[in-house]
Amino acid sequence: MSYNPRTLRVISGPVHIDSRSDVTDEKLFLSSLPVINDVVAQVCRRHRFSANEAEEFAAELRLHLIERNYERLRKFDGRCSLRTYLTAVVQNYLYDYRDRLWGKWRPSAQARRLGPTGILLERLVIRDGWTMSQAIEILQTNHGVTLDAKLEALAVRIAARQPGRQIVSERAADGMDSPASPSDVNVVRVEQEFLAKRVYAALDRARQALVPEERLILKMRFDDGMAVADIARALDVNQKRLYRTIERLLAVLRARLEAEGMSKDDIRALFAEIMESAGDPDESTSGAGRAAAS
Amino acid sequence: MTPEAMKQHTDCPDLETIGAYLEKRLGRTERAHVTEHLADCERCYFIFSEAAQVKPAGPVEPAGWRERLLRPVVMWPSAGALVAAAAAWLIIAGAVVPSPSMESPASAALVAAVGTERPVEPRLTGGFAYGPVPGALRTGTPLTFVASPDVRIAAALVEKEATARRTPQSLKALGVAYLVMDDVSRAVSVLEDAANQPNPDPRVLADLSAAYLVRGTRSNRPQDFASALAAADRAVSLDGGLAEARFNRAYALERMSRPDEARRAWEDYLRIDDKSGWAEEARNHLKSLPGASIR
Repeated sequence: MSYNPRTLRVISGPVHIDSRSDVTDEKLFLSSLPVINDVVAQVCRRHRFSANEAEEFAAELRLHLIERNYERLRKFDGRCSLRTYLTAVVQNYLYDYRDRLWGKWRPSAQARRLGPTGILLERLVIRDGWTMSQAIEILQTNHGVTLDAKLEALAVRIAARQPGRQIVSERAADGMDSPASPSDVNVVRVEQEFLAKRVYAALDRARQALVPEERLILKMRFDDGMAVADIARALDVNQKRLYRTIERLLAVLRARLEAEGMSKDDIRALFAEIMESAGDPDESTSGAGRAAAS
Repeated sequence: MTPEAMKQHTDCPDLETIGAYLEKRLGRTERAHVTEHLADCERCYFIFSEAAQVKPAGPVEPAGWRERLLRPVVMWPSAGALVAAAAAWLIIAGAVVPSPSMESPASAALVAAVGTERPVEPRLTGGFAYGPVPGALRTGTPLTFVASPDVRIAAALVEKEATARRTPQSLKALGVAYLVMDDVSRAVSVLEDAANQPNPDPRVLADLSAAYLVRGTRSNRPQDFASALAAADRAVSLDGGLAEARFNRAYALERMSRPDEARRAWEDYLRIDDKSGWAEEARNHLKSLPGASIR
């Protein structure tokens, strides 16, 4: 099967089904469709797919299942509920689908922490080339999203990173200032980026020293901005205990960063950024962040 | 983790293991292994974290799915299963198209998936809705029908049905599916097989006529137009009221540059259908013929 890389539409070739497959698989697929459709609808809503994108995704997923002769469904042997299994199947397909949709572009950590809406905003501006005002308009009109403080902060950061292109006549171009930053500002920026890389590298090393569950908790909380309640449910841990665990982990990280020679100011700046973009207004976690940063 | 569980990629747990992890159904050791893996594997972490954020509410699991899985292999579908499959596919396609009783559920799903798109210029039997012939680009290149995923799914089902049960009806459906999927040579071959059965269905002949017409136009083979006319004539002799056969007959005569006969054939068509989009198209054909009078 081949896809048009721009539209992701199937463009050629008949579909061949293994003749050994039987009608039972097909019946299983058809009987599972309501669950699949429900999961797909939720996933598409969460990822802010437009109606067309959602329809395309759903159709391609169904085609994917059929073309592989319902293998995914046949493999299922009841070690979890069918719904949870199908949810994982859909997410697995989404992972590859997203790669095809995005190409080489990847969202920044800050956009990821804001979830699908942050990723969408960044994608519209950075990957698709819309101006910030156009992207905001698209978010509002097509996806019903209004910018909150966190999205606005992301928008400001993206706008600073990506000065919009202006098309002007050749004559007018002579009189225009370059949108590029002055050289002294660039020097400061390079220094900041170097420092940030150093801090993040140290943070990665500190994380690697934690046990897997602790790394997972930090990843879910601060890389993806998941709510503490969701993490507690997913990892089957007590929510109140999880708040304390996060607080402890941040303190451990701070100590390790200090041990690596990071200054308190650098650590404070790092944690302030993480807490700012990660957070639902969890008092305890924010408190933990403040505690870790202080 | 058990070796069976680590089979998807190099050492990734399979999707069911991730599901079991989410539902807290794993043993302590296996759970610890999966946790360790999730902390470091981007793909598995994505599946896990995204699945964790999907709300559990929704349709309940289909009743008895596991029992069906455990049953012995059944190669021949029951009529009830086919009706259920048809209903489901009509829901997928999002449209309900009245289907003649002879058409299989998969064929009905194909008709529904095609909707008002026009895969080929001649008429196909089976209840395809009218859709205008696609135009052409300014360069003269004709715009071609691009099969949507739903059409491909339905075509795959037709193919599967024909593989499981080789009857004139399933061959006819397969030929139409190939034609819709732009595999014209296979369409002709399969429809010829179906037409070579004793007492062929006139609709098979009408579709064969359509397939010849498409192949003749694409490959510039005049002999295909003659074959199309012969097939359409046979179909009309068996069922004079079969609109698709009359449409294709007139179209074949037009392509063979026999304007007088083509005019009469289009008028014959309009006698049995003067209201549909097809009728409007027939009138346009009539208009384009030299010296034609329009009803």
